[in-house]
Amino acid sequence: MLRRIVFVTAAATLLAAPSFSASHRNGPLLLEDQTANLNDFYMFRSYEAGRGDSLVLSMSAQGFQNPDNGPSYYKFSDSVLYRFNINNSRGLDGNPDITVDFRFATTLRPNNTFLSYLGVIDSIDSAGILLYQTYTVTITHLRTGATQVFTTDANGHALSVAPPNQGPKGTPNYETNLGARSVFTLPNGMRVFAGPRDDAFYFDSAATFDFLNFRPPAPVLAGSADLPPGAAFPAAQDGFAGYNISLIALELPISMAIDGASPAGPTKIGGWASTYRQYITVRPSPQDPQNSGPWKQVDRVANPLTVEALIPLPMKDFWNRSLPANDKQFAGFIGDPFFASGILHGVFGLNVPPAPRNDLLGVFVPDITRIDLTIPPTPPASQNRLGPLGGDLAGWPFGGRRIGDDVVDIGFRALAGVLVPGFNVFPNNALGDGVNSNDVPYLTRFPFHAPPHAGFSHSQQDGTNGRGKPTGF
Amino acid sequence: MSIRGLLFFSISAFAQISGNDLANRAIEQRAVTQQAAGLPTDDRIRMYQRLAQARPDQPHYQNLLAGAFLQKVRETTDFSYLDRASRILEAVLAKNGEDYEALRLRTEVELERHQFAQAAGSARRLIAVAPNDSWNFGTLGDALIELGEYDQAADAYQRMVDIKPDLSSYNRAAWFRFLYGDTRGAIDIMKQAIAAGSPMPENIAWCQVELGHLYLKFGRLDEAERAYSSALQLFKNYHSALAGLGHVAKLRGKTGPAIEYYKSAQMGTPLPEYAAALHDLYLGTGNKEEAQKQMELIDVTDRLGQAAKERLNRNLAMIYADHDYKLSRALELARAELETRKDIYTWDALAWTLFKNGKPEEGRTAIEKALALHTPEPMFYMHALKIAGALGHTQEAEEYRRQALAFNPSFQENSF
Repeated sequence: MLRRIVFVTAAATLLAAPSFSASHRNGPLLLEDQTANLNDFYMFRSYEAGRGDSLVLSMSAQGFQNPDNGPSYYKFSDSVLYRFNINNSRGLDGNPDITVDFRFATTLRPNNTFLSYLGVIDSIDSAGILLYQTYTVTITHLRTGATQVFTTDANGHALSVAPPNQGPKGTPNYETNLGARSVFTLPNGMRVFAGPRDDAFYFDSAATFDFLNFRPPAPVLAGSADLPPGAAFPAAQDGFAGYNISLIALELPISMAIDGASPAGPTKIGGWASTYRQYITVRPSPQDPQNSGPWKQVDRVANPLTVEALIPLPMKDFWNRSLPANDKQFAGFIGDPFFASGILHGVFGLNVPPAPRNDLLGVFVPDITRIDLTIPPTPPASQNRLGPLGGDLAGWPFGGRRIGDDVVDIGFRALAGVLVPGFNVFPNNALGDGVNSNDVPYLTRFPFHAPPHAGFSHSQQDGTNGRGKPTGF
Repeated sequence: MSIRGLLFFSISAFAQISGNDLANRAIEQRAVTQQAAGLPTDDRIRMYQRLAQARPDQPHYQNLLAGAFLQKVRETTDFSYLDRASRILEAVLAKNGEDYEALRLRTEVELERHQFAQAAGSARRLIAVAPNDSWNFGTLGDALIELGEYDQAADAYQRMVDIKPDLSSYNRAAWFRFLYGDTRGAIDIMKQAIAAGSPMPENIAWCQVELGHLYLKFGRLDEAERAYSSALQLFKNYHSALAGLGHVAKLRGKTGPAIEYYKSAQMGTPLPEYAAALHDLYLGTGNKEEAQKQMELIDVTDRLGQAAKERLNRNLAMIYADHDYKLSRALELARAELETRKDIYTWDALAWTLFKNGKPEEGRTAIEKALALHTPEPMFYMHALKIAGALGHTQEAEEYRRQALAFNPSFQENSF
């Protein structure tokens, strides 16, 4: 009897609240989307040897992937349409002229385990890739309506997603066997890649959590602290070091990007990435809902940090589903950014240009990444992390955006007005977070993002996450 | 003071300058949200607690913390987390009654507390401020469904999909399709919700459990089992997935495994439904002592509810009615629930408790309201045909059986 009383009392204390709470249908509401949310968009003239006449576009999704934590969790979503948009006419009005769509399909190869990857995987065709993803690339020229669809490369191989980098035993010689082999040449000459990569973004995020306690000499980088590419191991900590992202990358001849209009064609083009999910009706419809609905845009990204920096929360859904062509409606937020007027001027006492900030409106309205195709690509060894602000024109914001452009420091300085005559002065032109380079070296060939960190080597123990050590072995 | 010193001083001061957190967003939002994605909820809570402590004047971090506590409520059904979330939100709103993030989350708190009419009002006020935020249409639709305002709920959910098709809007659309009798659409759209995903594994697992429930209602046991198993794989020890597997095992006549599954579910989250299932399973094996213990647990639930001045509890009413136990209390609970909650499930609870209390005529009126949308809910049909049978309406009972068999070929009125 005593046993029963103890049991009942113990259970009853737990029972009190839940008896009531679980009886309504509490469907999840999302504070963040994951699969359809894009982190970064890149667009630049290729600096790979012999490829200077090509344009590279890439988008990253699902940031902060822990390399040793359930790689299968980070697959591309089969229900999302991932799209590159290219705007090459009408004065770059923010309407697309060419779209390149990526759609993924997942096959679970029969097996008796819960694993996604089994045994040694030393080829992109290894049978141990139990969670096998392939994709379809669809290119649409909106002015003519012409469409091309590719499901295989020029050799007839399925366009497959690179598997995760588990470590030297599970995925030996990762980049040689798997990463580089997942770059496919399409029958039309384009090259594509989809799979995990190192997150190329670098920024001292930890310092901002500690009362914006930038590590000296940040936030004003003087002398050697500002030299490209910066000290090898600066005091500042790259909060993105050691983490992977999911990358979709595309390389196409510039002549294709300008619809074959070269050499008389446009010298400037714009681009952005967007994601879509299918529309459905809530009320029953006679059509099969699986394939009935048109695609609805759910996210877009062009310039770095636009939505985080400039668009308030109640407007975010609206921003994310709108077209860059209609970005004038957001000009009020962008032309007078609080960061510039309230913080840099109001608090720091920096002399910043007055609103409206036409320099910012020129970059962010419409929010597309712009590239001047007359600017030749800078060879990797000569690139400056500050891009045009550092005398290297082939970077953000005028020469597109490259993988290694230090968009945080460029952003700080641009907000402080250095692109406006008279404002390119100290300390406006020396602001920065102190992290001047990525944790691992980038590739100098397509897809340029560094190979993914291996689950096996991933370690936070010494705080370096293997910083400075090339990945992919 | 050097420029650097000045800047540092100013940056520290900036934390206190205004409620406008736009500035933070520029450099922090991305890092915070990405860092948080993929973290288990307990780790998220710790991270947000640190941030909220370090930046007490930034309500954004308080709101993130409250949001993480609300997620914890989802995962554990432990109401103490709801109280913690609520206290944080009220503190933020005491300083700034207009804080949008906090108001948005407060609507969710109201829903969890079953303040449905109030939640509908809050959602509508937020829609007036932010007509393009899908969240508010979700909370509005949720409240309206519980209030039995199905047509308006459909409009709210449709707006939600229009603004953003994702896991949160898809799963609601799937449920609406089910309510309106579209079995295929419900399953297809719930699968889309699962494919759309969420950074919170529990959110996906929740949809997988819902998919399992749909399959179960349609008699597709193998598929239900797979859906529950996937949920369990994604979110360990998920009580509703364990209970789902218990239900499948019970329907297959595998009493031993069924008991184990329900016991595991109960260990994590002791819902009265689980105690009721265990009671029946133990009774089936002749273990009267264990069965009795489970019924005592249910009684304690009711006593605690009464002590807390809880007048209504549809779930408890159903358990009592199913077991021909405390029937007048069951009717009292169901009637009280209907005063504020006029959805079809409450009508069904009323119908069933009326029937059990010897009022089949009144029960018939109530069950017709439960079936107004032609919802393929086997339980409604079981109740309907028993009520019809008790009234001697044999043909009507047969018609209900025929309809139930149409969406669930293995429908049996005595096997649930």
